[in-house]
Amino acid sequence: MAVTDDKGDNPIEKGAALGALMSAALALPGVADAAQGGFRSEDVKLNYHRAKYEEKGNRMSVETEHVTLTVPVGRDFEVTGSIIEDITSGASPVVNFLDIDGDPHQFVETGASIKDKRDIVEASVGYYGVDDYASFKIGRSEEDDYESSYGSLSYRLDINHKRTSISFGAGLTSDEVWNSYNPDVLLEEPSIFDRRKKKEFMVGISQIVNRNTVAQFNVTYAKSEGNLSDPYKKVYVVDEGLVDYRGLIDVAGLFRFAVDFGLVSFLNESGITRFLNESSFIDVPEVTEFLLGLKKDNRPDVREQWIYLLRFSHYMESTNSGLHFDYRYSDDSWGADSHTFDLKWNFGFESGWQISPGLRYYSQHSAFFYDVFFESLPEDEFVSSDYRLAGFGAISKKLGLSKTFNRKYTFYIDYERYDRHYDYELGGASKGSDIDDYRFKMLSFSVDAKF
Amino acid sequence: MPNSNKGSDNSNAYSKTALQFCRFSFHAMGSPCDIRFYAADVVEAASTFKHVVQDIVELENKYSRYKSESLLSKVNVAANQGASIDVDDEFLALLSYANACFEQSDGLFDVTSGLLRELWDFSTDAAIEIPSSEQIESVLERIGWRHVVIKDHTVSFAKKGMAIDFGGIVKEYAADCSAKKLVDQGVQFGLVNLGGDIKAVGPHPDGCPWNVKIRDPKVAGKHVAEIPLYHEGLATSGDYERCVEIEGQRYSHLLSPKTGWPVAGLSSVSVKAPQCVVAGSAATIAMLKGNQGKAWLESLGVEYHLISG
Repeated sequence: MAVTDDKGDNPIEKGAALGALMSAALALPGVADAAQGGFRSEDVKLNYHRAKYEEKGNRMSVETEHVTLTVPVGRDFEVTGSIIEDITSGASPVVNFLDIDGDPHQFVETGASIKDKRDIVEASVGYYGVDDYASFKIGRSEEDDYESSYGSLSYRLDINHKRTSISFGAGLTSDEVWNSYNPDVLLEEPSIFDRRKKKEFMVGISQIVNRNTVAQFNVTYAKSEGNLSDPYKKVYVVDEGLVDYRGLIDVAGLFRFAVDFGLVSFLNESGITRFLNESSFIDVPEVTEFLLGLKKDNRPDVREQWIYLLRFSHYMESTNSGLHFDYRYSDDSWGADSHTFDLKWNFGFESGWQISPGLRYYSQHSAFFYDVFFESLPEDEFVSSDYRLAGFGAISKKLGLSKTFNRKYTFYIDYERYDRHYDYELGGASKGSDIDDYRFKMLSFSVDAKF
Repeated sequence: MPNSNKGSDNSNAYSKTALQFCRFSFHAMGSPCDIRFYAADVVEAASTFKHVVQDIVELENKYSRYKSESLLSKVNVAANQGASIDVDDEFLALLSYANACFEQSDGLFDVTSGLLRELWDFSTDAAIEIPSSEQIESVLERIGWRHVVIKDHTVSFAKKGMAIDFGGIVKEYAADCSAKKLVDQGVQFGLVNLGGDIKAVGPHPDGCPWNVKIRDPKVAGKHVAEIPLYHEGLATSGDYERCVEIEGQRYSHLLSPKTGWPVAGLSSVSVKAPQCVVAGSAATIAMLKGNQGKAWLESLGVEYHLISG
């Protein structure tokens, strides 16, 4: 009878044989990475994004183009590079003037339209570990009147068999800001060259609650320091003017007339504005302050924000859809505290189609130094009539459509309608006015390609 | 900015939807297979699955001994004609793995021993026809890992009539490759099962492991063990039902390259190891070691379950 050959088994040191087999196994191309566990994709990814943003009533419009390339490097790294170009055109409100009844009206200098170009270059490196992910990003943004450099570090640790993730992030932004003084524009002034810095720190936790639900909570602390005022914005302070024009002259009407009938354009185009701005006998800002009570936008040079984000994602099997809900609360040292509720529903269909309707509500309290106009200069002299610091509420309706082809290409079309109202504010008690109400729509198109 | 950064926003794996359980069954490498995992998007999951199966089919087409067009068949044919043929890095790595198996098993796990199957036909229920010792000798003559010559990127045989057979390695390796592919496609929770060669990609999203049941060969529908898997591989060698009885002694259908006979002692061994390919060869080596198999597994330091003959 034959028996197996069991003679002379060498006493093997425990584990040595396993080590020998494993090291040979890890040399196999299909095994090594799985054992190391990184989740980095092997694909080279290219994304192109184009969006058009248009405010109602011929105000701002922005066109943006964005190209991102992501390349896997080595076994665990991924390098991403992005180039973004924005072109902003149109005009933004400069100041609110009062009419003869004392009611405020925006002065939008549409005769002197802005055309600004912004270029952003970004690069990041990501490391995919077995149970963690780390990334480092740097970027630079340049405009005519603005240069910004930023960097951030982030780290995510997956624990509890990847059911729980803990994230940390830190970012630093350093800006150099000046206004791109154009002497051919009325009410512009050569004012500032200054710096601002922003630091951000984030801690977050994400938890898979069950197979259909993921919950996430993040806390971000952001501190901005430096010149945070807007060099293009002015504030109307009644007491600072030569006279209180209410009941005497419709200042707002006069300026609107000057714009509507081309007087401002005429002054700007004929060189009269330039002559006035460059003249050594007359200091336009001083004169307008003396005559009209126009003060520069002036904000505190420190702003601290605590931002809390709560996110739920729930998958519904019956409809093959994913429901995402975000609530964000921002506690702001300027008083512009805000709540954001964001609801998004993704429906997946056969053959790579996805439809995503969304609804977003944003509510903001006014900053403590904001008002539509001021009767007198406050003691701390902080004043702003920037509509972005007003109290308001806004509702966005969104619809997205995407289709994936051969898993390699995905096309996205997204549409958003945004409607801002001063009386949509939650509680509705802070400073704001219907003159700042506006609507915009945004259409964007993107393509993702994998190679 | 931390909150605009892709990496710190760890919803990326679940950005579209929360996770849904997907399971796909198919037939490959001569076995029923299935792949199950949790995915955010069912349509994408189907595409992920397709990619994984494509890779399995490619491995099968490359390493099958039954397909004359496979690289393995071409290597065997060329080597037998005294020629040598270029192979790629993966092929060389598999040969190198085969070498480790040979060394760790003291020559029992030999990828050239497949020729013995010509002598023993376990496919019928009829009584096994026992080959003569001359027949066995003549086949054993053509068996021996030591006669495989690997030089640079070429393989040749020092003896005529030899053949390499990656049985006991390739299906297990394919399970590991499939798991890697799933991970590359973003899957974090899943299990690959290629005819009992299993590799877990990660536990269920709730953290529970995949409990793989080892059935009781003697009582249908009963299980003798349950092995939890998180990221590990699990493979089984031997099959209680396919054991044969020769002159009152139970033999498995694994053949020893030293005796040319089937081995006795164990009827089935399951091993859990970090990689499925390691689990598979450890289980096979334990089977080939027969009564010494249990002690060898103990010395290996792996989790195992065995059913004795």
